[in-house]
Amino acid sequence: MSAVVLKGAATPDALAARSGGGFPAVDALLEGVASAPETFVLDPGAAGIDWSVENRVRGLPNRARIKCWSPKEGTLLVWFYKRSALPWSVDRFSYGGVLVGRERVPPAAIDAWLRYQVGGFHPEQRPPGIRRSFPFDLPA
Amino acid sequence: MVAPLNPCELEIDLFCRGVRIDRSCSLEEDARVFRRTRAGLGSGLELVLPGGLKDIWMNAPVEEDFAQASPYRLVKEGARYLLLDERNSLRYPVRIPPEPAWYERRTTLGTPMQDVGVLQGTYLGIYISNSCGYWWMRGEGREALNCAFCTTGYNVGVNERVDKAVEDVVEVAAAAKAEGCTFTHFNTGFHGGRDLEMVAPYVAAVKERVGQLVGVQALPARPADYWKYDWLLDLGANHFSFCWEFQHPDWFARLCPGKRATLGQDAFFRALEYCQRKMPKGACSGEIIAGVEPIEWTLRAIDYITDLGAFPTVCIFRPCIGSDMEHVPSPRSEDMIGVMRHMYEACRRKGIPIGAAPNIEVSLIVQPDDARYLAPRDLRFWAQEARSWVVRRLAAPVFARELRPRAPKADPLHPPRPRPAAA
Repeated sequence: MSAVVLKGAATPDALAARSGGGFPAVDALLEGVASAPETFVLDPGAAGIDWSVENRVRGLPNRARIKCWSPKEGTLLVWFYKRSALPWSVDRFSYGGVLVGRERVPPAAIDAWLRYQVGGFHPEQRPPGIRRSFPFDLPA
Repeated sequence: MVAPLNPCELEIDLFCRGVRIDRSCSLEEDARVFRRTRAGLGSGLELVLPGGLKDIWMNAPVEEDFAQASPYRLVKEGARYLLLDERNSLRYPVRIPPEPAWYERRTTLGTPMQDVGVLQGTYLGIYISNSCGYWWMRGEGREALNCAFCTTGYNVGVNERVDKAVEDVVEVAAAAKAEGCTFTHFNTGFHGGRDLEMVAPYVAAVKERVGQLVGVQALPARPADYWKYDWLLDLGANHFSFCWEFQHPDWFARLCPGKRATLGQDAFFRALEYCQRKMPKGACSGEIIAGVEPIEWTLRAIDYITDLGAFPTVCIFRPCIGSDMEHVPSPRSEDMIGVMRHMYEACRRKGIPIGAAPNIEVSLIVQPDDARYLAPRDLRFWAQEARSWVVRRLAAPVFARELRPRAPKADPLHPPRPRPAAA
């Protein structure tokens, strides 16, 4: 993996460990983040690896976030969501996510996920293969 | 000089335009926690708009992009909250309902109570199931067959618990009742025809151990399974609602692909007709969304529902964050005022009781008795007010009886007929 790519992150290994470790999709996502022109920011207090992007969409700050989190051994959820615009609210607005195992994910898919985030989850940029519902609770 | 809006006009304008929150506000201390649950309509700020006829409860959009451009700004002056309309400098005093004490408590099983149910106005809303099957069904080139305006599948597991134990639900309903809540409303998504069996234990438990009015909103049963409605009535259900959302068959088909593929629009009509025939006038409701299909079809839906003796539940379309219709504009206030006035007039003409049940204020919709503010104050209006007063008095002992715990007349775990195979 490349050097630390998320603003506010520790070492790359510590970063990968936050998602449970050993997921090639996480490595590929972080490499995609590193090579993107935008700045991505880690939330160190959130479960898994959870990051936002510092850009604006249609004149407003981009609220799109990605969380990489493992609901069970050998499974990774790449979850697309927004947090509430109100600082005291704990509401989250899901746009679905992708469940992957320890297999490699095609670079085009990784790029599509990141572009979807940078575009503020615009419906026309919605990547294929996103699941809308999950049979488990997602931690904050 | 611009005349101020009456409380219902203001309610409608807020549903259509949303509200911005000024920095002077301290809603984290003064308001209920924001919870986007169920279909997503309750994601906004709970407000009470005071008025002479009645106070109006509403859930004002604050999260959606259109709300960021709203002319309404909520400000706090001293201990008071005001809505400032920046188009004309009019100021409207409002109340912020405080968070119920039970929101911060846990059930005996350790579940945070607010993860089990939420107050939407003054009633308790509980989504009992593990998402809606339409969010899991693929077909017709779609990722899923969910309704286009809905966010249910996105909320469960995110803002809501995946599973809800009957014990948890009973404790939350009891806690809500202790603070004045009279009505618990259960809803489910699509579960292949098992929906009513799923809701039965919750209905029976709340009726027997808490004593509340109980409503059920589920997808319609097949005619061969209408006995399930009779069973739920024996268990104590007081209300059934049926959501076909759009009256025009093409709009229904396009925006509710799962409902079209698995049931068809007629299934909703027939089930509502069956249930309303068995229950007191106004005990069932047909639910539609205004502001998407042509208005004349919304009016037609209201006429159909009230012709049956049922209660029209009319939501103003809200382009919720994350829904497939997130980028569709919210409707025009002027159009929605016409719809709600029609709703009130239809209820009045057909003798549908409005405002009769004790302390049920639904913040997600414009209730027919909210729309009293839209009617001209003529002889017919005051005659209707007098009728409503009499109905409330006559119905009071009936509701008082329903609010006492009582044993169900049927077994909630063993339906009187064999369970049908899941579709």
